Amino acid sequence: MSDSLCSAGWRGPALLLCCVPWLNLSSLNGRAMARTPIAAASATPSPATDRDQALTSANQAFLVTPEQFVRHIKSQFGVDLAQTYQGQSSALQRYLLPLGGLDHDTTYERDRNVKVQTLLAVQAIAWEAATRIMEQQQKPKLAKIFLTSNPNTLTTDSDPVAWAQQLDEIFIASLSRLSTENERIFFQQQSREMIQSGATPGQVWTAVLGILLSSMEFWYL
Amino acid sequence: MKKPQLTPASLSRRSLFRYTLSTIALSQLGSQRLLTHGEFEDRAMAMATEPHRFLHIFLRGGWDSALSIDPVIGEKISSETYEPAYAKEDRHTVPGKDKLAIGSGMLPALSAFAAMPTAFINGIFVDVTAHPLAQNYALTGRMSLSRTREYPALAALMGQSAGLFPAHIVLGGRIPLGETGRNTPPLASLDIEGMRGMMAEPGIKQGWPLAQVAQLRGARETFNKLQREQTKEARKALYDPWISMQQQLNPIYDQKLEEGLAPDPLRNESYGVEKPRDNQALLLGASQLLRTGLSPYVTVLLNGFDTHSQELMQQKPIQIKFAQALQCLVQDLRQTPDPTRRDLSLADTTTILIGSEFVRTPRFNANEGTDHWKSSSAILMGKGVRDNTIIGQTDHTAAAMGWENNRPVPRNDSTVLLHESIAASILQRLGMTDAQSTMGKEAIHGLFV
Repeated sequence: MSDSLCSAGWRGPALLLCCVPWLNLSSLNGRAMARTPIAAASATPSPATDRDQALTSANQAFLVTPEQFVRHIKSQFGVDLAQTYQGQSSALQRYLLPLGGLDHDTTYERDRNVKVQTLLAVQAIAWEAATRIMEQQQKPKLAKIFLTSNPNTLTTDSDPVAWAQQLDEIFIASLSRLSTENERIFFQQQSREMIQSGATPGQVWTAVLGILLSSMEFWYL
Repeated sequence: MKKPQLTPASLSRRSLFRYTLSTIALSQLGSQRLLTHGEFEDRAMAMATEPHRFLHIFLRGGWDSALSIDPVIGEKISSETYEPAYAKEDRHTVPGKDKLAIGSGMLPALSAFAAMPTAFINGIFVDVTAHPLAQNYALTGRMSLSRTREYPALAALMGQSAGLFPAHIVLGGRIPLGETGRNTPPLASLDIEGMRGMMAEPGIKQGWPLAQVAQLRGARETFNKLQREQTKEARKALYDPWISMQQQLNPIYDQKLEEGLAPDPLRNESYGVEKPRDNQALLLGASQLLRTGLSPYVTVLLNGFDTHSQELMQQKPIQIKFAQALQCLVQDLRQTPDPTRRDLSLADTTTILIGSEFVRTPRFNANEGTDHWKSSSAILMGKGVRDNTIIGQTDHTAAAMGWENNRPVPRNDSTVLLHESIAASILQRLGMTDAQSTMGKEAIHGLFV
């Protein structure tokens, strides 16, 4: 494989969130912590003429650190990825992502530019999170946060209204927004196709959540 | 007689300034930038035709060389420097290799040393005996007290220099990465299960049918493209690298590397695996990783060698378990064809470096354990290694001696044996002279053929 694989990646300006003195980090979850100053920074967008300018003016894309990811999953879904699971180490620690952060002693600088190596780990962590969240939904004693309808029976054809509501719940929990019409149509199609190919409704919802958690929108703020 | 008049050299201020600037600039450049694209291609081609792999087994905590490759023999037995208990321990010469003597901790690996070209390196002088500093020094071959000028570990340096993807693999913990952390980060995991998790496409580990896994892959890609379409114009460019790299994952997933990393109860038993992340499991994982051919450069970090109490009750069992697993590893490498050269075994194409940050004090402390000592020992095995070789020596007071012309001499600044020299030797043998030049020390004569 060529070396271009590992050298790919955009070069955006670094925004060190930990340098914002007025932000009380302990009172906010990861996503809120990251969104607050960025929203202020992007309040006055300027027209982009080339890629660099687009990146500068957008000023909104920064790779989530593992700590932010874990905090977000815990606060929104009640699953603590920092804990051991089925005898394995936590997802936060296991992949030793050199993304930088409070828990990393091998990088002196946060690397917020995604690379193929990090994307491999990102996919694995996102998928593990999705499966664990859906597993927890089936265990009422363990689940801290519930989806309104049972993901093991709800399909887009059995109850389209409840299905769309559930989709929006998952969108809000993961991407902090409602789904757009195009996204709803997309997931409807995907769900139908997966059900037709023999997947269970539970697997379909795991897939939906896995896709959202491994999306660019989720991992880049 | 008239004294000749001394005239200044004809060096203009302009040229002096230019030379100074270029020297500073060159000293700041990483080795990777000094290579042309053609040279990277040549190296990739060489790796395909004449593969040379590197496995760095690092024993964290400081191992006891008196129980392993620097046993108490000769005048050391009567020396009062060493604890008498060491003299009572078993010592053996490796069959067919008269120069290589090992202590009781390494006995199970006797046949491994006999089967592969092996060199022991003793008396490596280590000036610092604090774990983090000494570990970084031993892993990188360079001493740095600064986090902002951290040097990459040997395998990371090789990965960067070779320009391969993935550049290198780390199993069992973190290693210093230096600038490679940003340029060519490793695939790293605490255990082989984590590595397997990364290599497995979402859905595979849950046993989903392949058709559904393929559907899921398509859905992930389509969703990112859909999001790109519906985002603001100024942000569209941000999605391109993500989408492109997500597509680059597909050929990696298609290789089904997770199958080669799956747990194997039979091999677990032969390696002596007791827990999923013990030293034996990590060595088995290293063997599995080399077999997949994922990257030619692998670092595996083992734990438990910092025995400050009950030396013979703690250090020795750990070494024995390690030696048993090493024996299995060597056997596996000898029986496994190289992924790119099926006519050769992995033992023919892999150089193994086993080392630690330092060794233990020759005397026991109040807790019958040992502390940190200003010396280090290492084992070099496999491809290119000059067989039945001893480099370096500790004297009867356990102090590291100097080494010159293949014999021990008093240690001074020019004869001292350092990690830099070992790293330079390995890099030179791997043909990475650009990386070798960053070591600042000459390669050791006589370590490789």
